[in-house]
Amino acid sequence: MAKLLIVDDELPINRLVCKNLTLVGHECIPAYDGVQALSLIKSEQPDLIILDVMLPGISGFEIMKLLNSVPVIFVTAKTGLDDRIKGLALGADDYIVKPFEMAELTARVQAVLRRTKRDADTFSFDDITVDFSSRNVYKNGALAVLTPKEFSLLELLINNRNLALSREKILEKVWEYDYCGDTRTVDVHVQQLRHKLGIKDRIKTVFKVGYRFEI
Amino acid sequence: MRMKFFERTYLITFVLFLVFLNVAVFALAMYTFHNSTEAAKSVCLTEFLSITDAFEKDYEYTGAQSAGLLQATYGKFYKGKNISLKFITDGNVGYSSISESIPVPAENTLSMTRNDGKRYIVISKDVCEGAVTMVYSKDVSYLDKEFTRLCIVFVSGSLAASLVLGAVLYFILRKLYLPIVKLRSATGDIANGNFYVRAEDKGDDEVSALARDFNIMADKVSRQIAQLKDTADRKQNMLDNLAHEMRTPLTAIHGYAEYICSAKIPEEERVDAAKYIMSESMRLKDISEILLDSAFIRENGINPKDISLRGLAYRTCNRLYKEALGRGVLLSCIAEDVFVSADEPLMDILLSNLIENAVKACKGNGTVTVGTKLTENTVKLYVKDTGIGMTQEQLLHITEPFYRTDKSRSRAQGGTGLGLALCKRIAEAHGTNLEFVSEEGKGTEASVTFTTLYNNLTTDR
Repeated sequence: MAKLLIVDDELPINRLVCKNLTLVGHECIPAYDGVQALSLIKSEQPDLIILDVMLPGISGFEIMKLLNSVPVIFVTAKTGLDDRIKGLALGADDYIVKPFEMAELTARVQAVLRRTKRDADTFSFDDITVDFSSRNVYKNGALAVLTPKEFSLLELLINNRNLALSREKILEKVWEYDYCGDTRTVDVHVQQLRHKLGIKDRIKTVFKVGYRFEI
Repeated sequence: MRMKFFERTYLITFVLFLVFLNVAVFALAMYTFHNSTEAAKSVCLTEFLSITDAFEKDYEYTGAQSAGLLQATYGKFYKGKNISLKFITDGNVGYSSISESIPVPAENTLSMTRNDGKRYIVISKDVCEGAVTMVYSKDVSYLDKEFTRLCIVFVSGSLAASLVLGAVLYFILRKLYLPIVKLRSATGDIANGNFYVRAEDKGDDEVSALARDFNIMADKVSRQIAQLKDTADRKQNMLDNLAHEMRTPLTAIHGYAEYICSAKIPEEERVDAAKYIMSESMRLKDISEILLDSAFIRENGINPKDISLRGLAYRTCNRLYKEALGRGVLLSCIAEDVFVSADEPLMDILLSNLIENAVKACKGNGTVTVGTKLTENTVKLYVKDTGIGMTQEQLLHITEPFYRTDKSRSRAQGGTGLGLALCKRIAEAHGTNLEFVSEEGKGTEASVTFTTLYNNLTTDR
């Protein structure tokens, strides 16, 4: 869907981020140092850059200063508040600290893309179209009635498609952090979603893990 | 910018001056007045004596019968000369041109009296063998006028002098205080955290000396602050680096585990992910081991024994020989049988690290030599390679924790970035230094120098 440039000098991490973001439907281009990143930004015109701060050659902050209008999510191992402020002051759209969870990264990528209108507002599969801006779902062109929580759940599953989400993660993301409910709530909502949209084959139950939206 | 001290000094000096000046002026005025009065008195006395002399002669000549005429003649004559006379015979006043209100002083005395706002000098004397008392009086009011004039001159003079002195004193004191004011503003700046300000210290008085001492103090303080800042920066940097080095493998381990768990991926990719997890765990293990070694040396020091450098070098080389060969590097050892006092396990770590670095520097093609170089009472243990070498800039930093000459490559080869920092610590714990000589493109020689205990080449034991 969107074209992402992944800048990280650590081969394992770069590959990991690429693999995950490719699975959820983005096109990923890896870059391993600052110079390579700058030339790829010019030639590939990415929609979003995921930028490590500590890079050999040119640092992430310096790359940031040379950029204009391309959204950036900083990834860094530094936890200092100073760095965080510096990153955001330079115009970064978001900031994520290592080690991070994949669902966290995909959520932030999706949020930045949607905020900067770099990603499509709708997502279609089978006979279903999901409109993220109006929060409506159409099945065969007819409006399907979903509760707000069901829609949020569907949105989360689509944004993390092909990746399994634990029930706890789903609770945290859809019902917010402070919800003290049972993970059975998630099961009930998933059943409702499968039933209302007829997508039992798409939302798979992954044994001992959770649910995965497959496409 | 005025200060209390300045004001106080100014006021005290000025008031003291005023007091002394006015006392002096007053004394001078009184003295002058006294002098002119005395002068007037002596003039009058002389005048009176000459009158009495003349009168006595004439009296003798004319006799007592025509005394009345004589008195009138004298009185009238001297009246024209501004002198009043009075003659008293047996208590009866004869001729008199002196006002009745002026008292007659005792005989043979001189007095000064005031009458009708005028000042008179009055003298009386018995003449003609006591037959007549002659009283003399002269108006000396000019003395009062003179005194008033004198007072005006002195008061206006002292006023003018005070004004001039006030102004001059102000400027002189200002000038004297200027160095103190400047010193104060410099200390104020330093107190506010600007440590690069210095006070003016020209001249050789106490204030300049104080300024000089102050500058020396400021120099020391700023140097110490710079040093502290440098140390703090380096520690912060080290901590940041450590966080980065720990978090990077953690991120990979967590991420790949999550990936295996949640993504629908083929078996092959699963194995790949597991391999990443294993290699990143090893990296974490390496870092923690080096940190532990480092902490151990710091806490417990070293446990030195007499060891042979030859034995140490051969054991380490034998262990690493195959691995080096597998990476295209020929490892050779030409160490001599020299004994030094060292901690063998730590020396093994040091030597292994140096050999490891040397093998990496060769980039798959070259030789690494471990050897000893003897001088009279020291021995140098060196590791020499024919690798890529380093620049002077790189040499400066290589023993800093997490410094890498080639970051991405070093990581790919499994380096922690802590090896040389540990080697440096081991060398320092042995009371020696880790030294590097390097030339770009030619190779590097790393060495530590020990004091020789004895060697089996020249002595038998």
